[in-house]
Amino acid sequence: MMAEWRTAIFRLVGGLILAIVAGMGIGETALVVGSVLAAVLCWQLWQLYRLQRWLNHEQLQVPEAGGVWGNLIARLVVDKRRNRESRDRLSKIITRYSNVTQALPDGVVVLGNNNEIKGVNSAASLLLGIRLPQDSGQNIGNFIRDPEVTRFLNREQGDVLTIRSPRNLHMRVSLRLVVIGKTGFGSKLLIARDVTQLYQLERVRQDFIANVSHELRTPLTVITGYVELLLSEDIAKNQAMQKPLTRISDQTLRLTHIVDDLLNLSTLESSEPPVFSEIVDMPALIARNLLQARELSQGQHTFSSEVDEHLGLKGNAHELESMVSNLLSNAVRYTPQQGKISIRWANQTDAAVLQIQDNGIGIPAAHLSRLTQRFYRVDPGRSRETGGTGLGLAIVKHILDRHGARLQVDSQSDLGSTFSCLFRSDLAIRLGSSPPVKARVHKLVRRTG
Amino acid sequence: MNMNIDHHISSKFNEELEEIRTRALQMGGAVEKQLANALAAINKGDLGLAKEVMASDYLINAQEVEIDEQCTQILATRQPAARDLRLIVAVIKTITDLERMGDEAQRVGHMAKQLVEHSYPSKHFQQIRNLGNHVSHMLHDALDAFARTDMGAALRVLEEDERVDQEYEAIMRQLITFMMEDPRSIPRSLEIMWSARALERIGDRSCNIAEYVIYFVQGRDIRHTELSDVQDDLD
Repeated sequence: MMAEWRTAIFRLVGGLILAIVAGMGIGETALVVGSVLAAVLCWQLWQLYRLQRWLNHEQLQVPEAGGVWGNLIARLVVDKRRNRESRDRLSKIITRYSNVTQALPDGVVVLGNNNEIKGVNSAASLLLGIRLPQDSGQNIGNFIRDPEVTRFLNREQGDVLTIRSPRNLHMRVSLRLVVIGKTGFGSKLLIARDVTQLYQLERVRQDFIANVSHELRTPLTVITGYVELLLSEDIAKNQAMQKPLTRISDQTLRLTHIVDDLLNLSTLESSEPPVFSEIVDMPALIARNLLQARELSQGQHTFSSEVDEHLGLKGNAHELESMVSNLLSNAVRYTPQQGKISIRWANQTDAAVLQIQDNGIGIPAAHLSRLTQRFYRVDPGRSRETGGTGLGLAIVKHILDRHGARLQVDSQSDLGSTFSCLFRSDLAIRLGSSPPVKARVHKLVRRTG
Repeated sequence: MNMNIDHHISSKFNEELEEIRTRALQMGGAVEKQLANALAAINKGDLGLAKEVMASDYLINAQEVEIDEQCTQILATRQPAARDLRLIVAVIKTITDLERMGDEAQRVGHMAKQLVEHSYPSKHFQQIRNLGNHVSHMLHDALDAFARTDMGAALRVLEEDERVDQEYEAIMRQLITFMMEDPRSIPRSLEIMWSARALERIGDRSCNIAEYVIYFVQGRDIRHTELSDVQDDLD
């Protein structure tokens, strides 16, 4: 490489010397040297021009040149070819990947930091009605405007949310948000899946349970009525009939409880979550249920309570009542005589906590995760004998879900169990002070009615 | 047509404009939800849902106040011109209409409550349901047109209004017949009439939003103009 440079410099120096000698010969040194330099400059400019033209227009032939220019051009040709090759290779990879993403049956939307749309596959356009390229760069909230989705997207790593598709209201789409960190392209992935069929199946199941429970109620009422009648009649005085009749009566009562609980559960499942506008007087509610629990226990247990007398909760009073009553009656049922049951209600650092603790038989760790399934029993024999329906905790779980709360169970065999319900602290309200939500209603409601 | 707002030297300004548009659309989403809930309350006779609709209207009102405030701020500090100004004017008008639609949805919720509480027969609900579905589609399309600044979609919303008006007329006529046949049905019929009226108004206001879209894109005010003239002009 150096050789060409040396030649070029020799040529220039040689040319200049020749020009000076020739110039001195005719007595016009400056003019001759000047013209030679100008010629050299022109030639270099011409080469530069050719080079640039070739760089700008792919299809042109490679300019022929020798020396330093030839070297440079040869180098550029090699670079250009390499670039083209790697570009082709990369674009092939990109096409392959984008074909794969396009073919995914689940919708994928790549979102930027402010939820702006960066990329969409075809399933996502189909499920969510986002069109590319005209929608790219816009906030996804402009198209999926459901307020729940907005809340969902602003959470860090959300769980799953099921919405109606904006394109077709009969379609149900489940959304899942995955945070992928800074990739330079997008920071979140929104994955959408068509769950219409699942949703419908679930609906069929719920309706079925609701209908069956409803249908069972009528014959049960008739049976209960007649059994009561028989028990009060002379037949009951007959020793042989007494026992079977009492058994029938007990079991009918149990069946009625199960049917009632099933109906409760299906109402909880099928109705919309409650509005958090009602403020429930939790201390009074707890006191009421504690009284009931004492009756159920018939003096076999000692009760204690530590209740924050000024702490209310936004939610549905009826549901919360049923939750507390279920938890307390469980505690009574699964705690042997002389056991201790305590209930606490207080605002802790990050949540309002309702805690019900007993020192009863406890629950082995293996059962904890399945505890809230319907009809799940740790020890089938025992729970039937205590008269449970097997649906209590399922109901509790549903009610907590509807209030955006969590159930936490700590338990050890033979040492007792602690059931903690953790409510969001913004739902906990000081009783006695005027509720801020209502105040806003009065201020902002206009032109209604 | 690419109408993305990204032509300003101040990127903060771009963000502000994007934000009010998104917020206006999200307020629209809240109204859509209210309307859907109100209609579902009628469909299922769900008292809880009806009450929820009636209790949540203040959220929409609060959003209107906030967005209004934000628009005023932008007008004062940025002194926008041309398309930016039109965007802000369109947003201010859109949210006013949205807020009114929220009130209409609340009225439908109120009717759902009345119907459940007095256990009215659901004979007329089918038509209300159809009208409701029709109108919620219109609202949805109008908001989509706003999001995409899509003139074609906006014009389609305007066309749709005629059909909604016809459906409304049909309900009216039927209710009048009922009322003449059986005066006892008058309270119920009036209740249904009010909600049909509310739904029809939502349709009209969706058209207003579609008109603001055209105003924003073209800078032309097409209010109080015959639809066919508008179409001829725009072609």
